[in-house]
Formats: sequence, structure tokens, C-alpha cells
Amino acid sequence: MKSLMIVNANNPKILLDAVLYGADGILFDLAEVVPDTEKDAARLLLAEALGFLDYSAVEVVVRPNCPCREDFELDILAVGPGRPCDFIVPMANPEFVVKAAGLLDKVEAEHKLPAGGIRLIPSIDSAAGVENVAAIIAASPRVRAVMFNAGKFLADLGAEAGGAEQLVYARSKIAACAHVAGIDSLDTPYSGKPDGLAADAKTAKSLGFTGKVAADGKQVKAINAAFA
Amino acid sequence: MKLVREATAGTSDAGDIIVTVQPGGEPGITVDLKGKSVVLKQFGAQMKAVIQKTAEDLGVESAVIKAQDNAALDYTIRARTRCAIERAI
Repeated sequence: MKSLMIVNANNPKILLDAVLYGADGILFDLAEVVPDTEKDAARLLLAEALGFLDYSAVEVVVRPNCPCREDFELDILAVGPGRPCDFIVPMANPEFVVKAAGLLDKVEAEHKLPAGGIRLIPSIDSAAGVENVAAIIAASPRVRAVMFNAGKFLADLGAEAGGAEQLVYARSKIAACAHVAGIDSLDTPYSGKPDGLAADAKTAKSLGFTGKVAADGKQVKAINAAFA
Repeated sequence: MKLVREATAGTSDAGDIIVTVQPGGEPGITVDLKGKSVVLKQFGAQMKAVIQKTAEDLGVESAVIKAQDNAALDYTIRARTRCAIERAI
């Protein structure tokens, strides 16, 4: 997967248009872009959309809320029966990956879906996540990729965001561990000026990432080109 | 399933629908749908049927449902109706 585009799972128009941008995967976000008062509405809308709209041309990825919240379980139980390809595990640690895998065991058994068919993509959002990335990947055979969230990683460190150099260690470690495990690695979404995206994607590729998260549809083309 | 309060779900964004449900005074589900007349003329009956069936499938026996359409497809109508009902119980 070269590009994974983030979309707001609570916006019907965006759910309809999401397949038009050429992204290999679509990340339907129930977490960061959805306010607390609309979590219930978002998971119901996404569950209905997966059964109604045709997403067969893309990898369907769902970002549930943090496993530290009650919403995490509600998200997976509501959306899992719609058979997304993967769920993100936010704030990933080995325990959260095991928790997600256990919920998917339940969903697949209850809805008679192939066991182990729905995969996991742990999101490396903290310094502990970076240090434990190999253990996080090894926590479940469902893990098919890892993704990096630089903004959260830096916030966890208490470091101000200030350029690509400060991310070299984290990015290299994540890409190397994913490579050793034989799975994909997706670099952090780019949030700088538009003309810097191509160079940032090129840097990610040079460090070993196999793809990159796109913050919106406008970023997809440059990311696909960088990882082609 | 008994509704105990008024509740709303959905937004005024394009492709969405705002659904408001209230406990009904009498048995039965009434649906009042508003939107662009050209859309309602062609699809209004079908949209009302989707709202009605969603409520019935959830076991609602008595409700007054008002909906303001902004060109929503069936899946959105179902999701917003269900959300409003779940918020009303």
C-alpha cells in the first residue's frame, strides 16, 4: 500500500467521494476528526456505508477510538461486521493489539466471517511505541502493517515539531522493524507547506517506508509518485 | 422499544439528513419529510419508507419523526434515523 488517505467517517459526501482520489487505501477516521458528541453517529454511518457503497477497488481501513476508551470496543463491534480490511490500533502497545485481536475473534465468530481475515495496523504514537515496535508487530498474526504518527510521538516526548531530522531515529526504527517482520510501513501524514510533500515522501521512502498516510485527497498523487 | 425523549441526528451538510424523533402520543410511526421539492417528488415516498422501516426494525411502536433532507442516500437515512432513535431511548 503506497497511499492511505484519511477521511472523516461522519461525512456522507466524503464517504461517497473517497474512492475518486486514487489512494490505495482509505482510512475512515472515527477518532481524531469526530467530536465526542458524534462518536455514535459516525460508527453507525460508517457501518451502513460499508454495506451500501462500493469500496472494492481500495483497501478499507478503519481508525477506531483509543483502546483506552469505551468507544474502542463499540467501534469495532459496530463496524467489524461490515468487513473492513484492517483496523488501526491507536496508541499501540502489545496489550492493545491483543485486545483488538480478541474483539475481532468475537466479531468474526458471531458473523461467520473467515477467522483472522480482518487485519490490524498498529499506530506508533508514542516514544514507548517506537521502542517496542517489534513487540507490537509480534503481538498478533493479524498485524499487516504499522503506521507512524509523528505529531503524537513528538507531543509524547514533549519536543516541539521542527523538521525531518528529529524524526530520523523513530522513522528508521519503525521501517526497519516492519521490514524484518515482512509487513508494510506507512509514514506519518505530512502537515507542512504543500510544496514540501514530495521531498518528505522521498525521505520516508529512503528510510525504508513502503508508503505514507495522506492527510487529504490532494496529497495522494505526490505520495503515489514518490513510492511508485 | 419506547422513546422517552426528543433526539436528533445528522447535519445540514450536502448528502446528509437531519432526523428528529419524538415519542408519539398514539401507536404508530408518522414521518414528516422536508427537502427539495424536485427530490421529494421523485424519491420522497421511498425515503419515508426507509425511515419507517428503520424505526420498525428497531422495534419502535410509537413515534413522530421529522426529517430535513439534504440529498441523502439510503445508507445515510438509515444511519441517521437509527442514531436519533438510539439517542431517544
